Amino acid sequence: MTATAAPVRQRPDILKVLLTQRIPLLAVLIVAVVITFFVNDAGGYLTAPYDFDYMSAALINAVPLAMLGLAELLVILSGRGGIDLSVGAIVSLAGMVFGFAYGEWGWPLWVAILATAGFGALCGAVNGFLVSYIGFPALIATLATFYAFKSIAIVINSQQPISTPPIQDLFSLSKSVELPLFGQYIPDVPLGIFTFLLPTVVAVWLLLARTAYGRRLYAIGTNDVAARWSGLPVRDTRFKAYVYAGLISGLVAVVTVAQFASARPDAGVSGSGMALPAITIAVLGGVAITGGIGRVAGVVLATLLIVWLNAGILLAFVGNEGAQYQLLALGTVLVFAALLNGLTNRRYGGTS
Amino acid sequence: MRATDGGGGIGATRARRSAARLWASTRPRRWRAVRAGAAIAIPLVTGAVLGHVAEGVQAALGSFVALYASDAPYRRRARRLAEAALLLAAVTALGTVVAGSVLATCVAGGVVGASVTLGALALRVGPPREYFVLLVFLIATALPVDPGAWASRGTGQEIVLVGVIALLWVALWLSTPAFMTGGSIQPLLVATAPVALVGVGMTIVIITGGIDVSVGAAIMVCSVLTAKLLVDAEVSLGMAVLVAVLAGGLLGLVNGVLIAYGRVHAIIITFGTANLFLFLGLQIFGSGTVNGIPGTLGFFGRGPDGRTLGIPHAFLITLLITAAAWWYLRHTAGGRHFFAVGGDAQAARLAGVRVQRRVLLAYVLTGLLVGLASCFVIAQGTSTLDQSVGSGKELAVIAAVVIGGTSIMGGRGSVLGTLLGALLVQSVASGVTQLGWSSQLSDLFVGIFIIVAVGADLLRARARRSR
Repeated sequence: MTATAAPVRQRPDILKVLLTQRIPLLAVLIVAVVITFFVNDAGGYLTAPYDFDYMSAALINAVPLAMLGLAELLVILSGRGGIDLSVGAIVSLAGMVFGFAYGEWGWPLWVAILATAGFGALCGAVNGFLVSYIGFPALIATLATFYAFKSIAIVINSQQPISTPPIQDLFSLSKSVELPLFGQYIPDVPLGIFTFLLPTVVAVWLLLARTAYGRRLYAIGTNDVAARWSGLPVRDTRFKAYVYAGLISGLVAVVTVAQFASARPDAGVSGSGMALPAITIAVLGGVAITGGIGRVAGVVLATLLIVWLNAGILLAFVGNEGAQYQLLALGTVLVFAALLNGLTNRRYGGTS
Repeated sequence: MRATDGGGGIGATRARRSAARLWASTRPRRWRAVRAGAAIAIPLVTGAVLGHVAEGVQAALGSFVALYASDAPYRRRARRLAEAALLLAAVTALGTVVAGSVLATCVAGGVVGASVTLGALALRVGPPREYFVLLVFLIATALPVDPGAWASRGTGQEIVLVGVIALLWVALWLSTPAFMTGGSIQPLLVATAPVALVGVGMTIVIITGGIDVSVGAAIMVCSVLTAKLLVDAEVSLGMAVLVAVLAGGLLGLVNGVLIAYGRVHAIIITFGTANLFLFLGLQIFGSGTVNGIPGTLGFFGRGPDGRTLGIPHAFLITLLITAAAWWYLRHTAGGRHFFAVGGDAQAARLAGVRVQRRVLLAYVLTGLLVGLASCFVIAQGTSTLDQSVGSGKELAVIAAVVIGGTSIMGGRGSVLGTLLGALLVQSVASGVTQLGWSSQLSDLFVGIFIIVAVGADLLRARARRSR
């Protein structure tokens, strides 16, 4: 029995890695998507060229998506049904705060950004307090704060956006720039990638992979009770996860204001909002909804996959058809990723 | 009592012993009495010091109610409330007749409350009863009570929600007399119907431990499909309802199969299918809006066609379906199985419940109700249907379910509470508009209601555990 089983277990190594581990799978999917659209481009099926310049320009959409995906990563990791439905509403509200601070009261830019991030952290602290110290289910607490923040953001300036000249000038933050030294050899990259996305990615990665706090977060997410009995500050750790998520949402608010050149009261909640795509990205990136499993690289790769897929789809269809097929693609990828996870976990036993 | 006839040293010892025994028997309740005292005294004293006695009294009432009034066993609550109401009337009458002033009412109520509390402690009546006297005394002194303080009783039980809604309506009636007319109540009931109807299905789904965030998108698909049929094929009322319900059932089936047999967490699957349904709906829309919808569905609408004896049909149907669902969940084996699945799926499976079929059924039922609700949505709208239909409805429905007292963890919940939760949310929305405030402000109240309703439930659960 064991003699026959051993070689069978060794043979499908690559297949098993692809099926059970999310990050290689996402990498392969990204390559497949890019190659598919390059081929289509070469065949002349697209309405505009799909090249490295276009892919690089599309990255501007990755900035808010990946940052909020990382916020959800922190919260979902913390376990006990952790989720944050209110990130979009925090983006709206913190965006209005930024609009007031920078656009109306004329604070220096860096003070306004710090104040916005701090305000986002405060909103996150409300969530964290309700979830961690009072014991609300995260879904309910953040649903309630979603409604509250959304309402305050709209009422605070009588439904009017703030787009004074200083805010309009901020649009330069989201333009593409040529990198120094070797910039002429590669496409221009949106500035937001360097000013906001990369620092956030590095900070969250350091937090999760290189600090004691990160280890604690994984521990409480994996087994809340065991973590408590081994003396970890469970409440404090979970509370901070929500605060960090709020902080990141505050930074996204600045990005969004710059992108629209206006602080819109419904920036984060219009349409299906920002929270649902962010959760989708996190889940697609291999974050287990039960907590304790998930990596920064997964979220980043999932964002790249969706952004480049969406960018390609936009070129493959004429008019607003493309936007609709983006929904189809996102839904299909999410459902299949989830089903695949369930299937492979049963077939190969539980792995991350 | 034995001490009096016994006489001498032995009798006195006995008396001391029995007094000590009596004192010891109240020990579990003494601590709670102290806590109740603190909960009431701190806001009262703060209010008095700051010169806002009335607000202090109300705050004391709020904190007291949040701590104690809600920990009566579920089945006894109706009786407790009736007792409270009677005592309320009695103490108010006493206060007015004897004293004619608030201060004297406070004193009289305090004396009555204290003596009844001591008596109840001595006679070992059920724990929370003595507090009701105190509560009643507080209510008597704090009338008219701020609805916000009452909302802290929103512990997910129907009677409390009825009370909150009644208070809200009375408050709105007093501020804008036009509120209590058919012209204002009827649209309110009509607008409640779709959310409450989908809420019935969502309650069942959440009782099984799942959740369905795709209902907003599903409403869009069903309503655009039905609207297109009404415009292009000019189908009849019955045919339109049939198509909408079948389409909704089909979408629910997709969710149900993926969740029950794919064994993936419901929130992930329904996030995915929400995107797929949105795509489907937008494809049916083509581009732009559906125009010139005929009045075939007027039976469910706001107009005079949509009412019998002044009651809107949409609300009546919702009421009937809610009652049927309530009976089904409470009094049939099949209905109880949903609770079993949500309480502990593994145990339910071992007890012979077909867990996967139950889960599948929950999502299909939700889908069917989404279909019917879509007909209501079309009937309420104008003759034009745009692409934002159903957007955000999933969160409104979940909010109504949660305010209605259904536990998001599964295994506990009530469709009646959901109906009342939806009615409360809609009443707040309509009240905010009638008071001339920004209509967006009602969302803030919805958020606060969720926090208060679930928070009171959590406190109650904690009290249950510590007992």
